[in-house]
Amino acid sequence: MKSFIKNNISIIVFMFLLVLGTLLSDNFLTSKNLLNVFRQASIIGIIAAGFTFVRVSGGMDLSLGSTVSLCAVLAMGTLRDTGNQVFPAIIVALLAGAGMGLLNGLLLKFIRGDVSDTYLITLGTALIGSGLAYTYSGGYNIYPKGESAYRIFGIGSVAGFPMPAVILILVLLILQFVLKKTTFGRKVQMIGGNREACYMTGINVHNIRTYTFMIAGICAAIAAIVLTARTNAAAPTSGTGYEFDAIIATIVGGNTADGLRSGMILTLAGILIFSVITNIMNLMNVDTVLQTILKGIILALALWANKLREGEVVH
Amino acid sequence: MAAVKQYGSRYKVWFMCIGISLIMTIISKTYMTGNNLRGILISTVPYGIAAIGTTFILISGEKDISMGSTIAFASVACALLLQRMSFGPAVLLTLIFCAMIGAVFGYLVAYLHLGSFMISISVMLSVRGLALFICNQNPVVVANPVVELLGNTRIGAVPFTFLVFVFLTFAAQWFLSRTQFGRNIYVMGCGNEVAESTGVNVRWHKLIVYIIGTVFAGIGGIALMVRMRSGSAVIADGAGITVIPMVIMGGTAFSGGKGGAVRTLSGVLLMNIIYNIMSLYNINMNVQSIVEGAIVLGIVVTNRYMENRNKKI
Repeated sequence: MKSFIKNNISIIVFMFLLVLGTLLSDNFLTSKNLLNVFRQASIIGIIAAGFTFVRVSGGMDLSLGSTVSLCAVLAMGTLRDTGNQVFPAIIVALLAGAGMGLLNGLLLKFIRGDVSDTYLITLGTALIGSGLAYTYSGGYNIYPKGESAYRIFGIGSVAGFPMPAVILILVLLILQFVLKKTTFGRKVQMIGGNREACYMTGINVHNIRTYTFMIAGICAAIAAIVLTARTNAAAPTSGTGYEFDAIIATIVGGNTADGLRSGMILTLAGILIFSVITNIMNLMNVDTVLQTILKGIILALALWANKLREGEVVH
Repeated sequence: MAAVKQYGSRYKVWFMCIGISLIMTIISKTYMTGNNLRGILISTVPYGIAAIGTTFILISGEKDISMGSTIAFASVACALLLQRMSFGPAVLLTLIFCAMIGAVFGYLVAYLHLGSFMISISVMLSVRGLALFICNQNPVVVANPVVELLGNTRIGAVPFTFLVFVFLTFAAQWFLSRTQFGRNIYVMGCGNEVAESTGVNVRWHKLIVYIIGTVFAGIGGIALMVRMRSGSAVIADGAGITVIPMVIMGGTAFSGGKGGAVRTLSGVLLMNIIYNIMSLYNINMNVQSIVEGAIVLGIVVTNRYMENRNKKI
């Protein structure tokens, strides 16, 4: 019983929040509001799903926000220039996302970097990514000419369920399969546990890490597609701040950097906790500034809870 | 010859500053003028002081990207306090607030053993929110004679605030290399277990290091307020991306245990010279960010490549 609570604390917290929200606001437990929560959660969720891979392998990716910006302006720019051709726009965005991940991974491979290097390298590529987004868009918003089939990804729905949420669940299912049921996923989790041991057993540590960064980049690109399809516009600042939201969601869910406890279910729980808290605060008219402060406190609490669960004191 | 080589590698950033300045004197008419040089010196001050605080934290083996928020908080808090009291108490109170933030930060890292980088993200968000909260998201104008005086005073040709910065740098360097506490910080950077087994109270030292780091960021925020004659909660957004490269370029190791305040001074000067040259040649604002990122990556990659080239993993 005790270990059940320990292992599923994020899900229990989520249930508690649902009850709390129902008690605090009459509008909380309506299908409209809950679908809204899902719609808002989906963009952060898709990014967080990809970031989970990086987190599980023990790394950090601070460039996700600018990857979203870059992919958003590129997708909208391509849509505008090709006369609303959907396919090229998606391909360009996905390639840009994968490219940013590849850049991170290759730089880290070149310097044979350890965990702390991922912070600095991704900070640098974040600057380059947002610089490219600004340069491509000239600092202005990009609008495509009129409506197109592209918008399905943002405002369409499947059997009454919003399309972004469907995409989020698809992404989560695929990544859960990759993480838990393939040798590649196993390797990712092992690298988080002990890099040296993995190297000794013949796993190409740096290549695996490069793939995790590419997965994170591609997920950021998918999020950018959903985001731009919803708003039908892209700004070079579209993705600012998303990296921190995704990081918070992943950690609140309880994914640990050593790969011991990981999975898309935890990430989903983290995303939902994060968005339900935001939703409850919005319903109760809490000031956005106070929400920023609370975000920081929630992250610290989640880190603390993760630490308690490890049950060991290092030095 | 060996001595020359040793001095060359030790002071290479200073030599780069001088070399770039000499080249720029030849190819640009405006670079070597009093106004431009004074501009460089003034622009180094706020982020430079914050960078010294960051040096402490990096040497102790921890990470921090929250200094931008602390700078903004200090500028707003000091500007608000100046409406109610005179300059001295306002600065003192601001720094006490910053020390309190640093104490919470340090407690989370040192006593609860939470990862310093993740905690710095959390502190960054919370303190930015706090700064926005106390000023109701409005900029605060400062009309104080002491602030005017501080901002305009020059001693000789050098701005007074820059002299304060240099003084703080040397004080920090003295503290780091001449006191036992400073020495212990280096030991912690090489490994907490090592420090613990040689009898260093790691938790207490880390807490103090974080308080020092945040107070320096606070002084940087006050310097920024003095320069702009106003406090704002949205300034210094992303200062972490600007400050950390300055520290690393000066020669402080991101992995800890190596570095110094005077080295950071050289890194701060070099980065500001580069920014100055970019604005002298009217490089597009949008492209500047790419150049900045390329510089950051260039520094980090060359540094780490040279360190790790014999490692397998």
